[in-house]
Amino acid sequence: MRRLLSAEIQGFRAFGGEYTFDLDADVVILSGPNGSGKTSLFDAILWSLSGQLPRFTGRDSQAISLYSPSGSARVAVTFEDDAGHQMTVIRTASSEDRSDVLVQTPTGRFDGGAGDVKILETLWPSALLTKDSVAAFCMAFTRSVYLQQDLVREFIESDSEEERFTVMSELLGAGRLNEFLRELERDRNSWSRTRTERAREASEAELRVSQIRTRLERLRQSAGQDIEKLWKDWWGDVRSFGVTESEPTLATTEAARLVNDALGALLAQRRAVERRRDGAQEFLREWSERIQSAPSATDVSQARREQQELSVQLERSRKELSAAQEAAARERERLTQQHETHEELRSLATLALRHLGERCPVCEQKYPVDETRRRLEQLVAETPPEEQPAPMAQVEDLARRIATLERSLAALAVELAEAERVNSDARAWSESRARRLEELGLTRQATPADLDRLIAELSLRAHTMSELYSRGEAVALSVASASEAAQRAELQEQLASAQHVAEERRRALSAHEAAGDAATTILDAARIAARELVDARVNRIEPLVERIYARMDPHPLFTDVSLGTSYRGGHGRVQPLVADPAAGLKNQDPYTLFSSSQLNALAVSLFLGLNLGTREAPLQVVMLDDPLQSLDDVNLLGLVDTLRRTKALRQLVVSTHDRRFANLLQRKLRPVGDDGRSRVFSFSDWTESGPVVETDDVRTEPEQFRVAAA
Amino acid sequence: MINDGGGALAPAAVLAEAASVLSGASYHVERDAEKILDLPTERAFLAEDKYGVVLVVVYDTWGDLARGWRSAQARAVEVISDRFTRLDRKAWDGYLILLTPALAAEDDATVHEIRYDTSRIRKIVATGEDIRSLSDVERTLLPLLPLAHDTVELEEDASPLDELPERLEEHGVARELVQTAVDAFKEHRPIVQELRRHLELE
Repeated sequence: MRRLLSAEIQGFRAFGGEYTFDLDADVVILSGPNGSGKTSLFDAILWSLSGQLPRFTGRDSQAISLYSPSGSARVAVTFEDDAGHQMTVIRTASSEDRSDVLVQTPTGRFDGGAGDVKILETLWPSALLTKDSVAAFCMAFTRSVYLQQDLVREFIESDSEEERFTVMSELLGAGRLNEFLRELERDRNSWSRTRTERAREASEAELRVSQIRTRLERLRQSAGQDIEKLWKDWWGDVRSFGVTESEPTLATTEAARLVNDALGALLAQRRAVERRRDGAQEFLREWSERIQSAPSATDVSQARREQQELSVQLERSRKELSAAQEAAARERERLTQQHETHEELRSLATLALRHLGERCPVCEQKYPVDETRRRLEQLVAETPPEEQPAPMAQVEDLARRIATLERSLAALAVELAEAERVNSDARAWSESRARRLEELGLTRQATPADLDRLIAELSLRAHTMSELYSRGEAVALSVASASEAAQRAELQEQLASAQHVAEERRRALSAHEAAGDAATTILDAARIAARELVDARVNRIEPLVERIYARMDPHPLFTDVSLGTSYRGGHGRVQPLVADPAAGLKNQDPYTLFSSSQLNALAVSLFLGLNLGTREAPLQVVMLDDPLQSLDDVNLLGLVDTLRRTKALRQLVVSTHDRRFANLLQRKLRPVGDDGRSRVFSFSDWTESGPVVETDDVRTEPEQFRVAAA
Repeated sequence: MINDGGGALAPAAVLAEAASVLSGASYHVERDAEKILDLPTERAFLAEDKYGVVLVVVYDTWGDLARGWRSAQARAVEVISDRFTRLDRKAWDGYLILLTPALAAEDDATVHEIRYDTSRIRKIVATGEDIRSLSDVERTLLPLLPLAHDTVELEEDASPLDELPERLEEHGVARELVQTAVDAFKEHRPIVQELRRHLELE
């Protein structure tokens, strides 16, 4: 039986100093207050075997004691293997990052990786097949050997049904099978994803074949014409037409381009000729219209002389008018003065008449009054003559004459301007005609008949070039046809290559799919096989779990327990279920029905069932770290009764912080007759170097029957 | 409601089965309880193994049990005290098994009280609700029985992974194909890639 014999601990967690625990007993009881180092002893055993403390995952593991004098940790655990040989595992660590292991056996020493492999080979061989063998070992160890203090109910409460299934599979021997299924599923799924890529590649290859076929169908067979002669004749004519100086050979790879270029040049030239002809035609039409409708140029010299004479006359008349106007002004001034003198005399006469007396009022002398009166009355009665100044008639005559002259001059100017315009237009046409004739290649003196001949010549040239262009297109077609023949040959080769690639890819896709299908077939069948296997093995240990549960009897009504397995989406699940047979209640979730104490009792039952039902458990040891938590008295007694019966099958290592429970354990797990040995380690007075540990063996009691006779 | 009419099992059968079970589990059984206890032999017996002493009492009715368990407890303590000193650890390892095939009264908390009365001696109670067949008698006595009786002899299992090719062949999957997948898994090679290689070689 694989059981613990001793543990030497130094610098590990609570043990700063050096400690040796002789564990060579059937029952080992660790008693002491919380924090005195009991759990560190359990952890030391797990750490020495795995190099890990999984419950500290995500935190600093703190394997090395803060008070380790050397700053390092060392744990040496000796156990007995199946053959009764001793094996010692020594693990050391000088930093939290890594540890070194040395395994000593009667057959040799194994260190480093070889040491870890040796441990797994001895304790949990199937873990060697997995990618994370240490994790698999830790899972098996903490679910079937070492029930950790703070994780008693985790298996029921915290673990998901899938996690529980994984643990059960690991413990029941189906762990690698399930891992194989997961790996195969992962592999198959990624394979399926790459199938899409393979299918795309095959489809692309098919598309390429199809495209080449389409191009081949579009290429016409060569007409079989004498392309050499066509080529030579056409290029000769093209050259003679002055389109190009070169005459390339048909064999050139650029034959098609050269023909195309020559056709382009020919077309450009033909269009130039046509434009010239059309221009000549337009010019001829314009010329003819001008001959018929345009007025001829006139001589304007006589009109200019008349204009000059009239201008002289007008100037002279304007001077005479000016003189006449000045004379008239002077006469008008004289008449005005005369009129004013008359009016003054008349006014004076009127006043004098009013004041005539015997004597002159001024000089007081006598005067002829009557005569004076008559003279005065004559002056008053006289009216000044209304005469026009004599020069005014001359002014008016002269003004009329000037107006006549001005009208004559204006009419003459209009006449002259029109004549000038006609003459200018005639000159411009003459100039334009001469220039356009020169542009058309004719002399300035060319006639419409000359222009007509030119038009006929240009029309003929354009026609000839058009025919040459048509022949050129035929040459281009022939060249293209010959080129297509070459293309056909090339495409035939490409088609053969593409068909080969497509076939290869089709076959690759087919093989890819076949492998994926095979994986799916294996996966489906293996899942069924795995279910059957796990179901069978769960069914095998289920009665054991149920009877251990019944021994503890934690619930007065839900007295039956079972392990329900189910499968969803290819993943297994397992769930502990309880039943109340009296009430006919089956498959109830204990988590919703049980008290904390009852859940603890169920968890311990499950743990013991897995320990006892797993044939190849890493150690035939039950390590319970303070299982008292939340257990009431009755469940506690049930647990102790169960442990007493377990010690016949497993080495027991149980810790407790409760003195009463420690005493109960000592009494109930005492050795009787040939039961072996029960040992108690009492932890107290924790110091920097660790706890004070006292060791006592429980007294062995002889078998004695005093109530019932044998 | 008190059902004093008893269950399907006769108390005598329950008593006989309990004696048989304990006897089969290496207990020394003293059926003649009357000479040791002031209890009728047809209703009680004593058993003893190397760890402790057991008094099994079977009552016809739940009422009898409810009324008589304290008296039985006194008798059991008395017998153990007579035969063991306080220094004998066996003196502290007594069990009183109180059985009745009759149903307990509904809403009667007495069963709970007896179960949780851990003074003087450990008590195990079972009524007609627990004992419906003879096998339930053994189930009631399980805390007293060796665990070896419960463990199944687990045969040496072949690795399920190694068995897989043969198992799947029964499901119509080619053995060599599955073997290829298993080998690839063991050697940490891409499984489906190996399957393809295998299929191409076929």
